Amino acid sequence: MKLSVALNAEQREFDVPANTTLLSLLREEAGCFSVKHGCETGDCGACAVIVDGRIVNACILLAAQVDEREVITVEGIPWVMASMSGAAQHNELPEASDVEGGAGHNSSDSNAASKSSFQNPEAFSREEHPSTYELLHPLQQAFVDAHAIQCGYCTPGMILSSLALFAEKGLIELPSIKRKTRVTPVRRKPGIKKLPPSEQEVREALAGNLCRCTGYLKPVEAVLRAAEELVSEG
Amino acid sequence: MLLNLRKYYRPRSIEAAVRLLSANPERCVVLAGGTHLLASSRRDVEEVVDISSLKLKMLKRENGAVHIGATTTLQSILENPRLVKFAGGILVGACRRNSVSRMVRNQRTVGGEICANWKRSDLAAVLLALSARVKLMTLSLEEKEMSISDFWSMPAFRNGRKGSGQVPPGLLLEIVVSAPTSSCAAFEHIEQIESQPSLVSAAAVLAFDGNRQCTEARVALGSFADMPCRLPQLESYLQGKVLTPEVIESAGSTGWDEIRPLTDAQASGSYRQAIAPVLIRRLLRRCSKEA
Ligand code: FES
Ligand code: FES
Repeated sequence: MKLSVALNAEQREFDVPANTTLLSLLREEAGCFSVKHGCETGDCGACAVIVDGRIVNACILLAAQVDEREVITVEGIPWVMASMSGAAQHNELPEASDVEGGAGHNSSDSNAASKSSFQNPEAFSREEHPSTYELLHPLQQAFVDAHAIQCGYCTPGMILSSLALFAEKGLIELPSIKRKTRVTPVRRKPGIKKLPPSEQEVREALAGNLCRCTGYLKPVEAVLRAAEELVSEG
Repeated sequence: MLLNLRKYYRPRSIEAAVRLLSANPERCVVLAGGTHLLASSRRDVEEVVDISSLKLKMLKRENGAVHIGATTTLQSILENPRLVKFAGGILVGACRRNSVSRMVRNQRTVGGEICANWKRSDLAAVLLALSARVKLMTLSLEEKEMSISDFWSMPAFRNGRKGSGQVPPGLLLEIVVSAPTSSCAAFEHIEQIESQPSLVSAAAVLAFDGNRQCTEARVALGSFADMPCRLPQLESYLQGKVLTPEVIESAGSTGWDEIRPLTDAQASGSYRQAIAPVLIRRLLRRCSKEA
């Protein structure tokens, strides 16, 4: 069956059998190898992806269920980062109705370039933004700095679970080429400081991501570090 | 993975969905979140009807009752600030307990939980204690409303696994939970580790008069027998009683003759039989504090 999926800033078309899972689609058709095969029963979180702003398990979703929807994997993080630099000028998060064509909502000149990239997804590519692809997101960097990665099999899932948490807390905004994100971020009045998630919130957000190596202390530390950094950056 | 799945439909109207289901009732099943279906590796499923575009994802309060659309996810119930205190928090408690994984709760729907996982679901026990009602569209396109226990008594649920030669009862549209008039409700569960499903869960909704005497009691168990069940003997024993420690103690041993506990890979029937009275006493102790 034919599917049209907004995947990491790109509108992609696929033709797959009806019983293809989103996990198989992403790995075998779209080449997103950050999404891992684990239990395939929704227990381990190795296959976590963000669909329409919500973190879900790709192994227990049919690919057809994301037809006309938007998927973000770790391969899309450079795009998320570029949208952060666009949104960083704001003290106040925009109202949902103000957001059109993704995160390019700022009319100031400094954001004109990133705005056009979001409205024209083809323009957001490795060739167009080479430097962004070289950088790690503060969250990825925090995982490296906190030694939160051993074999790394669980890491993409943990990164996406944490990104979804940050989006929910209003620390970042997930970009979109199609529609507004469905996550309603915590809205604050201008001038009021953003708060990082508590350790308990981080542990709850990561509860569906099993890790056989680290014992969870280091990943939790990494997420808390990254959250602090994002808050201090404003 | 559904090895034999050949066709996927995402209809935009309830009528179209029901027509698709009735065209091939034995091989065509409803797909809501998919967390149970996709993890089940069922070989008998050849067609799925994805009901995510039917606008059944809704939560509203009307005249004190909560209306939950069939495709409302467990996470959205948890996140709804107006439901935190509803029915003593037992509805939200059962949704949180359902899975530690936010990923699963983001996908899993209330309708899926009571249609595909009703035998093992904590939420099913809580909805039974709350006397929830369900609205469904039958295969002959009639809208029906019935109690949740009548819903589970329909042939498709009673006689083995849905999809194995059983015709589904129709399409579940909505679950309606009236606000209990009582002052207290409680939910208890026991599991091996937090990330595992409950071995037994129990929910109670009790009403008291000014003298702290129980005027109405509804007590339900999940994962105890082959379907969620109420304890009618215990409920009538509690009528008119003040929940003193002695009453609670003897209530724990009342009403077990009628129900045969289940033995499965998770726990033996004798374990369930031993642990369920403990949960009932815990429930009643909690309620007595709030009475
Ligand atoms: S592979 Fe999807 S949750 Fe384990
Ligand atoms: S780092 Fe090996 S599974 Fe988490």
